[in-house]
Amino acid sequence: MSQLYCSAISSFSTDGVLSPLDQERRSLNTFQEIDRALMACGRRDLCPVGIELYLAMEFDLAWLGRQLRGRSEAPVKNEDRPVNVAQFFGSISVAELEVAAAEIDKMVLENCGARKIVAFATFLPEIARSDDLRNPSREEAVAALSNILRLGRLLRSKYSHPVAVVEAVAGSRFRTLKKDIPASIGKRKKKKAEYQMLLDDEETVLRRVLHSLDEAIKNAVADGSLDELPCISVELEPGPYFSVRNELSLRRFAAELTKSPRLSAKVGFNLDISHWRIANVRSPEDWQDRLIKDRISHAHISGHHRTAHFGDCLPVEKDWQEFLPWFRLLEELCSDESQQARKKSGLTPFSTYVSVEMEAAGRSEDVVLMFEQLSRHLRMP
Amino acid sequence: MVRRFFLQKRSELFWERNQRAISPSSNRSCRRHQMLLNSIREEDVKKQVGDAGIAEIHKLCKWLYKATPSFRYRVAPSIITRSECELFGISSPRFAIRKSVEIPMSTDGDYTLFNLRRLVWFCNAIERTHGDVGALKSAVIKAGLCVADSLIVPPQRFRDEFHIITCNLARYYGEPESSAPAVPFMQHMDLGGGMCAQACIFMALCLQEKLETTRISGVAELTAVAVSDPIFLLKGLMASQIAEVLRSDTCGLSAFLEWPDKAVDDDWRNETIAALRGYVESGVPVICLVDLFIVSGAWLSKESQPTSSIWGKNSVDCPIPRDRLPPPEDKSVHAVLLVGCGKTNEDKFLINDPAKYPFLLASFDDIYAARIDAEVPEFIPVLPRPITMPLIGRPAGVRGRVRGLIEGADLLQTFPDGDKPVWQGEWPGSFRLIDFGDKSRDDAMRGLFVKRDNVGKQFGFWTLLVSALRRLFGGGDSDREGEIIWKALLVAGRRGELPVEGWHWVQWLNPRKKPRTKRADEVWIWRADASERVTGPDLDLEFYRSRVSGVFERSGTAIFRKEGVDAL
Repeated sequence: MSQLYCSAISSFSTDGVLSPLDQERRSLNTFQEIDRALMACGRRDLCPVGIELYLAMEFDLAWLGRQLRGRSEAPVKNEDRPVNVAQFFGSISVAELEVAAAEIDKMVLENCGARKIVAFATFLPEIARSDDLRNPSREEAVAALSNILRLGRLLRSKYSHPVAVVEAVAGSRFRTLKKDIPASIGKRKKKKAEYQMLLDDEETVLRRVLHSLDEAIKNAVADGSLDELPCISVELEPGPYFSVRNELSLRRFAAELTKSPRLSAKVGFNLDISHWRIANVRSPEDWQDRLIKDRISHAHISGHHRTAHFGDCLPVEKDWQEFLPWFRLLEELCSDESQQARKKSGLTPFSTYVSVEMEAAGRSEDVVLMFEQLSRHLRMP
Repeated sequence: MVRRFFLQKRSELFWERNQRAISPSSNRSCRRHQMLLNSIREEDVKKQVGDAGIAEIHKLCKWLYKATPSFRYRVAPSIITRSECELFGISSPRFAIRKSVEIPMSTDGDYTLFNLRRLVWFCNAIERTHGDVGALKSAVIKAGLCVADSLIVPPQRFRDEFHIITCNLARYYGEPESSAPAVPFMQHMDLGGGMCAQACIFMALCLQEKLETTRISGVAELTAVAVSDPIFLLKGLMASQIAEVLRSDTCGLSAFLEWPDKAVDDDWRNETIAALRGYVESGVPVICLVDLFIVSGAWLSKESQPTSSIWGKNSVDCPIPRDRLPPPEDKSVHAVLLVGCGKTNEDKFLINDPAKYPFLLASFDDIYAARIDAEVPEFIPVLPRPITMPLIGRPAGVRGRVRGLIEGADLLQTFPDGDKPVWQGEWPGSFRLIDFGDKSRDDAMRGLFVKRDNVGKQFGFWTLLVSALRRLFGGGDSDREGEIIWKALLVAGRRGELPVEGWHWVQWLNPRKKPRTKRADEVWIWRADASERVTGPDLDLEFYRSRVSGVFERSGTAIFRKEGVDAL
């Protein structure tokens, strides 16, 4: 039986893990501390923990940009940061992707130790954007996602990193447009910008997201095989205007996926246990069917407030107890039978990883403690 | 030079101590390499937040703690900056810059958290996506309203004199669990119109986070839920919209737009003060609608602003240049949040003003002077979801009538009417909203009767002397008497005379507040979550009414349930 492993999302450090900016080697030290703590807990089987590389960290992008364009060794400055992830990845050529993959492999080894990249985390809400918006446009976001999928495939084939999934958000219904209208301020007439909000209807946004995902996969397989391509794991974001936000929208999304064999084979859900709890998704024990269960392709874990995402924190014991049914589900999804059945049905495989998310953590100690506590709640093989 | 050295040493010690104060479970871990992550240099912070923002936050810290406290910057998550990105359709900057400020003189290493907006970066991202924002961009950066969701530990001077509503959210921001209770505060983002109401709603939701039904959303959701139209302009909310947003499933609370009926009630001022105190002491924040130009003293001269406006009285300047002001007859509708009330000074309140600072001291008369309506000020208490009975209510009008508890209590307690009780002492007394099904019921009830925490535990010589003198001069010792009533109520509870479930307003009529009144204390317990439904062939009407769950009268050190009143 395959086992459930754990990995760390690199966003715990906003300095990134690719640039040599982190002179005190905080990322490397944190990863080593995690391994040490897991071994002390008797969970050698989980070591070395995998890395889920967050591809939207500004310093990482700035460093990558330099390597791609100038190959400069000078330290990265604030001014070097690209303003937008979609435009950065969307503009990379296929040749540059080769350089990027080599650079990522080298810097991960240097800054995180000898560990494997098991997934990419992204933030490209623009895939849900209306086509009349620019900078970045939906097309740029789609191109970025395609390139990220290609990057995953390169790292898999050339550098033996088992990049199984690309986690992606599905955007929101907000469409913001600037409107210039004259407003009277005092005696003078001045131009004051006003922002007009437009709430796209749910159906339109869902169609747009599915279309974007399909396009991204189609572009990515144009120069390679579909089988080698990592899957896309769509993240549920709690909040009334996100396109994938609760159990109902998960079900609708899953039902749409079944209509397209390409999407069905390459798009699944990222089970972010805390997000799903905030969104009141029922415990898996209460599900009557396998519609959502069969689509889970990856998982995230962190502690949150019961109803809001202020930030990531250590869960308390009560939280861990509430998470237990989800861990049991993930362990079930790791089993050979489950993976075989999915393959037969043309569904995405499960990555067999649950990634710890402690975005912009204050102390390395918290990240290490999170792994210690998690390891106690995961079954031994 | 020497001072600088000591300041640096002190700062180092503070952060070292802070690093150790992780969660209790970490103590058992073997010696481990601990590191602070995501630090950011001050010069980078300046570049991202803007000079004006940095100057503003330095001024705020100095104003709050009357000193230049030690601090640290780091990049950190923020529910508000994330939500603002969603609202404006940009993907960064999602993270804020967190300024953790050491509380001067704190022995527990407490600190205040400010999540700062990266205003320069934010405006650049907006410009890139939405085109030239020119003058507006420079205005936003210049205004420096950079404080997004923050948790501010009240300075000692406020803790001594005010009852302040606080929350314990630091843990969820990834900070040590042991962090001190704090007051949430945020400044509004003046891009595309005010949004002070959304800021007040967010602060109020954080203060009510412990309630089962509360759901906390960012500004994007709060803005969208207020409008029914799928196309709308991004701006602040109207009073009725604020109450609707709070009552919606997005927030999961109860709220009423209310104002006193000045036309029929001569004593409306005292009653409104009692109601506002009742709310705040019950942990219910109140959104007040005011005129920003009166609160800030924008139209006043430099000489009179410090004495005639809320900002001025709190030594806060008004940076709005006169040429940017609308004509004086125009009002700038603004929302502020009442988060504290004086422990002894009955008509003093603390307000969080999203256009400026937290903990601005304001008297009721200051708030009244800044009212929007020509006649009366408007309030929106942010109540637990089951509450159907607010204290003030509002008279019939365009917005429809809301019955307040004080109105019902007035009829029963002060009108001479046959055999029914008539209260002659100070009225309407004090109120406390209590969930009788909750374990903390007894402590919540004690808070109504005993204002100082140590009374009942320490009856030292001076306490007894002061108490004796007060009684001699007809004032009585309210806290000591309160402790007696509270204990007697607990006994009544054991006798099964108190409600065992449901939200109730507990009202204490205390004769000692009006000397020489020959009445004993009375405690009235009112149902706060009662509603009745009348259905008929052509009718389906839900209405709320005040209902008495019990009336207790004091006799010596005991209290007795008055029979017959609850049937009224």
